[in-house]
Amino acid sequence: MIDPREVVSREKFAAIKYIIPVVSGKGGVGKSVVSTALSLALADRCKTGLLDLDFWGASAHILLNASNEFPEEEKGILPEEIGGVKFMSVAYYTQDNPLPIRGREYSDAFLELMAVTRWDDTECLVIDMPPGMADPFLDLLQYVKNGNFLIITTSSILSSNIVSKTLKILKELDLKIFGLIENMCLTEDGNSRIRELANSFNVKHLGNIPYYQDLDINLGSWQDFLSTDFFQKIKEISTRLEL
Amino acid sequence: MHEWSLAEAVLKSSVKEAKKRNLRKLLEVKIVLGELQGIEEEIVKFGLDSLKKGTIAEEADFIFINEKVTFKCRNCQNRWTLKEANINEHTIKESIHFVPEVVHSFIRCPRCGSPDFEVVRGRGIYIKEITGEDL
Repeated sequence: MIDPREVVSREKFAAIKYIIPVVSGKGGVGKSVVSTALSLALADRCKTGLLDLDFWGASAHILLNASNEFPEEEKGILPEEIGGVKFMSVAYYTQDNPLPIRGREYSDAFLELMAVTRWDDTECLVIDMPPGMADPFLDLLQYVKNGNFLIITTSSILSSNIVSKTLKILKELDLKIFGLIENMCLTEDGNSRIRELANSFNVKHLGNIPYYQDLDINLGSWQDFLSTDFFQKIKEISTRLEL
Repeated sequence: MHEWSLAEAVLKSSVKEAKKRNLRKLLEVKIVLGELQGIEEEIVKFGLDSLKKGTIAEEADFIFINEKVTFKCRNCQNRWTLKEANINEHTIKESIHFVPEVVHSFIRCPRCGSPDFEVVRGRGIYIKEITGEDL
């Protein structure tokens, strides 16, 4: 048996100049909000896409206020364009229902979406990853050979401990890492432990993002999201990415 | 018609496999179409016939084999068919057509109600066999 989706999925990833998987290992650190903001910020610089691979907890579609309709079909599936970003998510097809699938099914859905989605001239693809090191993370490592990882952590020791394990794997495999973002900081300078963590893995500490208590009220509309201090902070950090 | 992209995937994969096996040209490709995904055979065939020109698959016959769905519950081991799953709503069928795994968003084991089931066979498209001429 030959799975026809594998070859084209590899080709599609390889054709994109910059792939930025936003990872952590730890859940609840703000990967989806950072991924979405980053894609909107990068859309001013290059043709950008956002792929939500968090099938169990897809949420980028909420941040972008994506359509409830299926994306258009034309020799494949054309991602919906929102705020200058080409967006694809399994949420278009689950109709806001839960998706209780195991890893094997996750891998199938991942390959299916990649095989049929037309990223065309996309130069930069931001990937919102689920937490953990199970099938989604391993599928990504298997099919994406040109990723520049962006690591998200909070100042908490519970987050930094798990992030250190993610960094260990990425370094062990000699994968490129754009840097680390310290999110939801309660102090302006962040936590020195996070800077030490970045230094110990020879990874850039790209910046601290404060904990914005009022961020949530501006989620659900990408236009309102652009006006937040959070977005401005991500936009500033995005200029430090070497694209 | 996202079938076109699936046809493209079948052709590229068949050609790559043929080269790996040192085949000079492809003569036959057997393609399985799983009932769950509801792929339009005619559109895939049209795509393949258009895309094969100028490749080592130019003279190949594409044979389609339709495979019925069997679901199996991981909780109670019950097996059931797509017909028994009784999926009638057009938008649900369309969703499954694009990403078959979202069937887990819409159906449950008819015996125990569990969402934890597998599609044992008949999921989607795959290449069963290729044959060709050696170099």
